[in-house]
Amino acid sequence: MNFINNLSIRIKIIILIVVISTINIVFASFSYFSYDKKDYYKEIIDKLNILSDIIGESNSATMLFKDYKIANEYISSLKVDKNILQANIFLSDSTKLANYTSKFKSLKTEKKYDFSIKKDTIIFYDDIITINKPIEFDFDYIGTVRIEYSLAGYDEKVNRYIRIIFIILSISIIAATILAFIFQKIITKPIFGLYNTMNKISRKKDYSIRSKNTTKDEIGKLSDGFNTMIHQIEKQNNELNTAKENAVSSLKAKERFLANMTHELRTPLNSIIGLSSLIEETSLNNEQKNYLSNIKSSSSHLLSIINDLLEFSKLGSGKLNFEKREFTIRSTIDRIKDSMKFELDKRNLEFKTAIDDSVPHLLIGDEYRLNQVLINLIGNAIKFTPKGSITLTIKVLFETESKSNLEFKVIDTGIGIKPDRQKIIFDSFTQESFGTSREYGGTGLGLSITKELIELQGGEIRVESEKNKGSSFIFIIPFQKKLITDSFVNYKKNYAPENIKILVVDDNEMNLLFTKSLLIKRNFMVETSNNGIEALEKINTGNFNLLLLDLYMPEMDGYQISKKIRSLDNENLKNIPIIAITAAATISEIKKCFKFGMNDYLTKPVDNEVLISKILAILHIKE
Amino acid sequence: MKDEKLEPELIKSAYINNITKFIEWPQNAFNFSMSPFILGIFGNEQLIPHLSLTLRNKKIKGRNWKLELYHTPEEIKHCHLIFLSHLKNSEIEYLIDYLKNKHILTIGDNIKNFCEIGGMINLIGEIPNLGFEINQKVIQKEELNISSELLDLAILIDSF
Repeated sequence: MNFINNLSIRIKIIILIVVISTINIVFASFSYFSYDKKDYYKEIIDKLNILSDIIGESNSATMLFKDYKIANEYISSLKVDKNILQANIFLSDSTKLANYTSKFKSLKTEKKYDFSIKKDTIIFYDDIITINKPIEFDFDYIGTVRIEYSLAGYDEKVNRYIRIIFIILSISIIAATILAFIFQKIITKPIFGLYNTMNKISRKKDYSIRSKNTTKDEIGKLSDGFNTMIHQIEKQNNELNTAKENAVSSLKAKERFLANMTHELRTPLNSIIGLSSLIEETSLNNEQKNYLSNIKSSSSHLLSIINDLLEFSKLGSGKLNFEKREFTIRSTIDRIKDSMKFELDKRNLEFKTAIDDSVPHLLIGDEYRLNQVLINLIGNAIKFTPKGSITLTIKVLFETESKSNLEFKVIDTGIGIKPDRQKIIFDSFTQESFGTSREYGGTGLGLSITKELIELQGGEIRVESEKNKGSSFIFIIPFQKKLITDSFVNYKKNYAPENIKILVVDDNEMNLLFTKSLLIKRNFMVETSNNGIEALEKINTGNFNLLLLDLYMPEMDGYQISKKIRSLDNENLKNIPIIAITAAATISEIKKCFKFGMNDYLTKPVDNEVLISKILAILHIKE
Repeated sequence: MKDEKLEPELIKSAYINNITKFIEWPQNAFNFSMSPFILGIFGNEQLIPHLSLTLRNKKIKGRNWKLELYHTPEEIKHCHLIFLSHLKNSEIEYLIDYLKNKHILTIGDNIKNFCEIGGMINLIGEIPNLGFEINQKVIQKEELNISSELLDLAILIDSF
């Protein structure tokens, strides 16, 4: 049955037609055959009846006058029919008047029948039919005619008949096969048409193609159904495409909005923080110092919230990339210490660091992200530690040939976290208790972002804590090892450069003022420019060692300036180091910076120490 | 053909009976539809009981039958068949002439030249191998019809 199922419809139809027509012919032949057999017997019986009647009537005189000679003459004329084996005429007293025996009569088939001579009888025995016919003349019984007739002639007829049936059968099977092959196309052609259409649709992914429908039968309905289905698929596809395009464009819009907002928010914040720092270094009375410190801490808080939101949105869109750049982990920690100093002092907390000697000086990885993670965790620790100390320990957990897996521990003596809350503190918008947010502030995103940032770098984080005794956040990040460690440069904070000329380009006068004053304090020679065209002119004449370049400016932006410089003919001018200053610190933007030939970047608001260290690093390496 | 009771009279009676089956008489030979078939016997009285026995419970041509014995031609008035025995030729000639145009079938009992002189059927041969001669022309002249089957068995005499 499986074999038949696997055949093609074409073959099935042909087989069906041929089998049915064969059955028809065989059935018709057998019906005709059996009818013919009956008919043949009836014919023979009729013939024998008539023959014996004729013999009887013709011989009534011979029978009455017992003229055996004439009767024998008469009856011997039956030899013309070779199927007549024997014929007898009996008189009324059962004496035999005449006898004829055919030369074909076999003696073996001789059989004595015991049946009354006066009865009209027909007997079939073997293939011999015997008719016993009493003859009446003038209402008197005068004798009997008996004829034995061989049915062997019928066998011959049957043989001939079977031969003819066989020939007819062969011819009709051939004819049926040919006709079936022609007519199966009526059924299979539309099916193949439909199949080809389906193939075309899947191959071309073109759902506007429709099956051409020429029939109104079941296949026609199938085709209609298929067309309806394809129409719906096409409709759905179009809707999905539209929805997808909408989603993509709205996502892009969202990202653009985020980038713009970040830029817009950071630029004024940059000014606030920068200028607050400058004011702090002027002579102020206590009241003013107090106000200023509030301004600074509020703006720092605002900045961290903005950073959290930006980071979170980037994590959500899965667009985060990590840099693989050289950095010195000890100076990173130094800078973190510096930037946290104000907060720590304010809360009267002690900050201890313990970096194991085995920790390599130079590592390759994302310093910015590490910085972010540590600031997050230390910031948290400060926030939740009313008194005592915060300790950061770093050690090598294990090393491979190329990688160094560092374990960082941030230990505080703060309020601690209840065991049941320890599992969920890394979830978004969660803090140790709902009251925590009100009491300590924060978006609740910090730990969630931290965890993501660590895990995306192939690391992991966990917490150990006891309520009211403190918490330890322990995390591991694998860093690539820098194979040559000799080039480690340890520079001093108050390194005094000689004759270093720096050009600062920014359209925001506040920012220019801030950066300039900062650099002058460090004994750099500084010139400023607030647009690209003026900046290019100054570069051509000014013999600068370094360029600090804001990316977003009217008329000519930072990228264009960088591109122009890098395409200059003058070898000295052409290779001047450029540090970009950007508010929208996205990976794509940073990549773009390097693409346009810049050497490094700084994010707004610019951190004093980072700025100086970057400048020194670039110039030192250049030397 | 080996009947133990082969009395010549009985065989002759059977022959007479059988011959009537192959002869058709014209309608005007009978006055009424109910008229009996009359068999005349001339010159052989012995035949009467045998013929009666043979014809017992039978009909001839669908009619009742009647036997008449004649001694002289004058006694012969109206019959359909006459069986003639033991007659001289002169008597025969006279009788045949006398019986003309009366639709009477004449049967001779082994009479020499019976058919040649105008008799219709003459029984010949010895018992049991009886045969007969037939003069078809005379029969037709008397408007009688004879079956060809009977003719097939007979020696045909063609005179008159």
